[in-house]
Amino acid sequence: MIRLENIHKRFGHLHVLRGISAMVSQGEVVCVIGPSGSGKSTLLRCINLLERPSAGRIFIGEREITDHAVNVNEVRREIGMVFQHFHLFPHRKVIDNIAMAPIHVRRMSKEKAYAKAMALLERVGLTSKANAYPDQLSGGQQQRVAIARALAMEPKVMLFDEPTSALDPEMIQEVLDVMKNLATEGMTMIVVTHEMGFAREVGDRVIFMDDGVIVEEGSPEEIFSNPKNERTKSFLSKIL
Amino acid sequence: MNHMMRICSILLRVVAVLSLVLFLSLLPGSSMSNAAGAGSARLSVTSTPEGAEVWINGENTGFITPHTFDGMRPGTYKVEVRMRDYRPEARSISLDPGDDRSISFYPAIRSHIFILGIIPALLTGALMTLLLTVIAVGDGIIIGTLVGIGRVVHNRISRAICGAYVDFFRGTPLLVQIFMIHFGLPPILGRLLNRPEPVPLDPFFSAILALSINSGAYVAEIVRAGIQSIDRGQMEAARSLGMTYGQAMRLVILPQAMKRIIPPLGNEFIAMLKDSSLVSIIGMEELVRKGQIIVTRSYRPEDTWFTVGVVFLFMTLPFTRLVAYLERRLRTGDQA
Ligand SMILES: Nc1ncnc2c1ncn2[C@@H]1O[C@H](COP(=O)(O)OP(=O)(O)OP(=O)(O)O)[C@@H](O)[C@H]1O
Ligand SMILES: [Mg+2]
Repeated sequence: MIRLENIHKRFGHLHVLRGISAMVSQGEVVCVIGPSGSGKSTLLRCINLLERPSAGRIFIGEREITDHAVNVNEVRREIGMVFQHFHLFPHRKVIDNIAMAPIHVRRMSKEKAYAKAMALLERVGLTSKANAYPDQLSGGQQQRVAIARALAMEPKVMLFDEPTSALDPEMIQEVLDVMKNLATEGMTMIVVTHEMGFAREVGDRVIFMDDGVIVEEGSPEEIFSNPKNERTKSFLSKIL
Repeated sequence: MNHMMRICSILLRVVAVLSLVLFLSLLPGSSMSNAAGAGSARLSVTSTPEGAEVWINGENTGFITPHTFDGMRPGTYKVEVRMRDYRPEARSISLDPGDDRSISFYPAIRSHIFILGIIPALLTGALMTLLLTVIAVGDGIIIGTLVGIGRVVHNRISRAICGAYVDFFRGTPLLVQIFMIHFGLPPILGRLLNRPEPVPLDPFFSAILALSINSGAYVAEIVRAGIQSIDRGQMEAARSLGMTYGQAMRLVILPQAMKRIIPPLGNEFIAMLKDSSLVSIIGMEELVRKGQIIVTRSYRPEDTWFTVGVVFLFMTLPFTRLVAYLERRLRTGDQA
């Protein structure tokens, strides 16, 4: 489904990703962990071309999206992204946040787009907030709306960049539950997270990144209970 | 004894007559017009405009200018003319026997009457000022939005060109820009069009062009600052949904930036209301030019310029208040 071939990313002289190669298959949930500054966000941003890799190739299905002839807007339609700080559009109602991209990007009719938006709100349990503005919602509710907004484009892959780390503890579970349902329904997901419980329960595979490289990867069980690499061990000892 | 008494009575009479004459001559101009004959004087009093009451030595003579007083006793008089809506004007004049003198007054119209009189002309000027400002800021908003966006896009050439435009027109005096366009452009146009003579520009055209280009530079900065005040995450979220850069700008960034753009845009409008006065120098009959014309005709700089100032104030004040109100409202909107 997703194939990364030797991805490098430099910001000026800062070499943030130093040769990342990985595969994610259809319906797989991959959790990415690693210390701050290790390049996790940058990696996700490369996958939907918010950043262009300095070197290496990325395939979604059979298509190489790093090819310069590829239309980035088309690529991004297929890849949903959920941000740490939600980034809902504060000037539009919740329902408009969700319907906006289908209407303007997919050229969906308004009736269809709004019906779809309502269905998605139901899925994340927020139908009552359809006509609220984002700043009237709690953090957890905002993040659920952000997930619904990304799903409205019917992406093939969902990328999550620390979706719960800006939330108060009591709101984390409601967001994780939505993500868990999504995984159960067979969505291909790459999740940067430090929620070990989620990674163990939902994740098919865990990747540990440090200093721009994949240090270790394996099943959640292997990584959390039996890490082989010293850096993985010391990182896990700090966060567990 | 009889002799003595006669001398005494003659002396008394002489003293009496002399003191009477002395008294009469000291008495302020009472019986002058009646006292005709040789040794008297003539005084004609005129005023522009005519029809003023003539007062002499503080008393109303009952005559209206122009009037000639015959048989005036020689002496010094304080002559004054008084007229409704005009300031009284007084002057002293000394008449010698046999004089035929005239005295002319140019009474000044009272300030409030003068000001009421120039208001229609000033209001037509104010209307022109408003028209110039509305068109200039309107154009400025179009230019400024394009140039402001041109400064935040990725394209380096666009950023350089738009940056140079903003720097140039914010970094040079508006007066110089007006001269460049109105006087600098005609010879260039002449050469471009292969004409032997410079191609003169209509002052209205030059004024609009200069003010619009200038306003565009300021609005561009306002728009750029407004766009850049929006969290980068908004653009990224929009792009991650597959929106093009233009869609993200139009649907997500600009509507939010509007909040930050509108109050300073109001300030730009106020600044342009005032700065547009500079086009008076190329003969545009806006408020300041009207003022200059009135001053050269009336020699009343004090009343004219204070009134011009007040008219400007009445134009800017509503907008100043509006901007303050918007700033307050939009600020509380941010907190909610
Ligand atoms: N646009 C950019 N320009 C320059 N440097 C950047 C840019 N984006 C990221 N970096 C740098 O790249 C490095 C990796 O950043 P990244 O955000 O990918 O780390 P991360 O693993 O997501 O960390 P965190 O857990 O703090 O989110 C950091 O040192 C960061 O400062
Ligand atoms: Mg990050």
